[in-house]
Amino acid sequence: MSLWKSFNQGIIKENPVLRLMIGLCPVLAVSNNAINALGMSVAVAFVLICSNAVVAMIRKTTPDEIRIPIFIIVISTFVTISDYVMNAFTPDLYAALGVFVPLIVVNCIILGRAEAFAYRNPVLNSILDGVGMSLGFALALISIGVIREVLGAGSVFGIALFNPAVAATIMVLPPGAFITIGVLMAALNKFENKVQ
Amino acid sequence: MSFNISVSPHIRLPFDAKSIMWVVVLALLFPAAAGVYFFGLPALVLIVFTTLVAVITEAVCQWLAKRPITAADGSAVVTGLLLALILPPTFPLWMAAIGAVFAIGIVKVLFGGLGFNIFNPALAARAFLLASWPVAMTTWIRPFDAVTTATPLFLVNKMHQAAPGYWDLFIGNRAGSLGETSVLAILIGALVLLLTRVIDWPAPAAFIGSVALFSWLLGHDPWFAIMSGGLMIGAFFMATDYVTAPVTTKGRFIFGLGCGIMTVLIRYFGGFPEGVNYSILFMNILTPLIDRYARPKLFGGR
Amino acid sequence: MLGRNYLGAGENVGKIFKLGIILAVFCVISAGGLAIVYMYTQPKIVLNSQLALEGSKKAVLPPSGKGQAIAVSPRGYGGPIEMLVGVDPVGKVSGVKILSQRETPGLGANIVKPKFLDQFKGKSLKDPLEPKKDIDAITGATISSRAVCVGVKEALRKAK
Repeated sequence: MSLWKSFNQGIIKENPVLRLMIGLCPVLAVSNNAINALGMSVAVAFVLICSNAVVAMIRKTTPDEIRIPIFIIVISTFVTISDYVMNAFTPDLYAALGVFVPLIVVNCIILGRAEAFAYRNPVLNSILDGVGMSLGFALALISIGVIREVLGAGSVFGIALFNPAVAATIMVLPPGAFITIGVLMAALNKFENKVQ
Repeated sequence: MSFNISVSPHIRLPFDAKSIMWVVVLALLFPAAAGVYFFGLPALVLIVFTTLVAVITEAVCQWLAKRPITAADGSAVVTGLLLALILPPTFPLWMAAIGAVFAIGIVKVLFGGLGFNIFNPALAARAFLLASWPVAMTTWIRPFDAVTTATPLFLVNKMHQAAPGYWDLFIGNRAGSLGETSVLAILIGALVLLLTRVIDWPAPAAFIGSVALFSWLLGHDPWFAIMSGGLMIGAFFMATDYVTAPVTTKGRFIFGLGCGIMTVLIRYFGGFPEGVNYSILFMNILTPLIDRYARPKLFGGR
Repeated sequence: MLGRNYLGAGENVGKIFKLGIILAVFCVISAGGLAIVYMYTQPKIVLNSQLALEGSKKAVLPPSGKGQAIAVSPRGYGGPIEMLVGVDPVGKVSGVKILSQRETPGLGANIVKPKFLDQFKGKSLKDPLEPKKDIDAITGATISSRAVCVGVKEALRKAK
């Protein structure tokens, strides 16, 4: 697989959230404002790129039978690192993301890319796949976060746009996540159909 | 000329789907008139405006989806009218417009249009509005003088104050949603629907009966329980919806009973003073399950 | 791939042993890496939580720094409201800070706003401390507002 394609496919064509529909749990939970969405995207990108790289590196020496436990060890190591680092250097963001940072460990995107891509491809391709998938994840998550924050709280990245009393609070509550993600999926499908 | 092909048994009613909708509209005009009488001109403006937005939304959605435009079949009128009747009388018009667009655009059209929606559009829109603008959705006024006050249910169940008299509750001289306050007007409307056999009794009877029974068992005044809040309008106009409620008599009875139990649970043990809205939405989800359980046995089957 | 010589016959004992060793090696590497990261980040994490607690205490106590900062957690609409109440030496509230809450956004969550919390300054047990009496409740959020009042009262009683 070409390097460009490894990188490119995760952004729109196989967007993990809006096309593959994996990793929806953190997407629904932390997309209530743009800053949380950005923080989660960075954490997922770090874990995904690192774990893809390491899994690709060790793929020749890893016995098939225990590859899943080994993936989990690799992933959880990087998740714990990002957990410690965020707690130490960005305590506010850490408090806002709550339990969802440790839960990256069971995010299907990460284990899914390790198993479906990194375990079968060279290191460079795997890193590029991680970058592309992370960008796709960030694109979806931040779009949802911005839409929900603007409509539901009248601000974007914490900067007030209009009187929050006018904003539809439901958009920052759980139903707003489902409505936004559904509308975005529909829009992307429509767009892709037109392109084809 | 169109031929309808379906399997037996065929139920014959004096009306088709279109004229049923207009009978419902006629019945809804009674509580609407009572709302205008008690809450004045703003109530009339809210009713007309919300209904118009609902009909226009349906037309626009069908035009965008390149489908036949059936916005004039009365179903959008019913949704818009019902939505207005369960909003506070002084509700801002632009918020009501968003509610009507949500009811028709998201809850009805996106799920496939008339006959395919899972939730009652008016009720789902009310839940949407309540979560979005809780302050505007819980600002109630007193009839005639429009002074801000709380609803009787809130005062009695959450603040432990005395209930208004039965007569005021019955004719609708109390704070509440535009069309939910007058039990008398709703009963007249319900009578129209029952006499024309547009609705039947099991769902409303089970709904109102179970709320009265469980309120009494829990030591609350059953008369106050059934005449306050949105129970009457919910039981007669929403728990009887053709699309989102079960089709068999047994199923409708179960549906009404479930609504009643949920309402009592929310009113006395939940955080909200009123639970009719959420109880009907909750039972809407269970409707396919109830329909499957309450399916009539085939002739000769076991 | 899967299904090839799993836990079949006795010949596999050696293989299981080998796989166990490989897994153990990965665990050791992972644990070693984490230990290093932990060493560098832990002092900072402890410092952060101390700073946060001290900052909250400073915010609720009078400028002199005398008095008590009391943590209470009354039951709100969406669960316990963790709050810190500063009480000065004469038994008056010097400040209130909400540490964590799960009230409805846009409604009960407004209890964190200074406009609401500043009302409690200077109150003592002699005041009724009730919404609609001496406290302006947040519109549409009587339960959340009342919970904060209950918390302040509890803290004042504890401070005695």
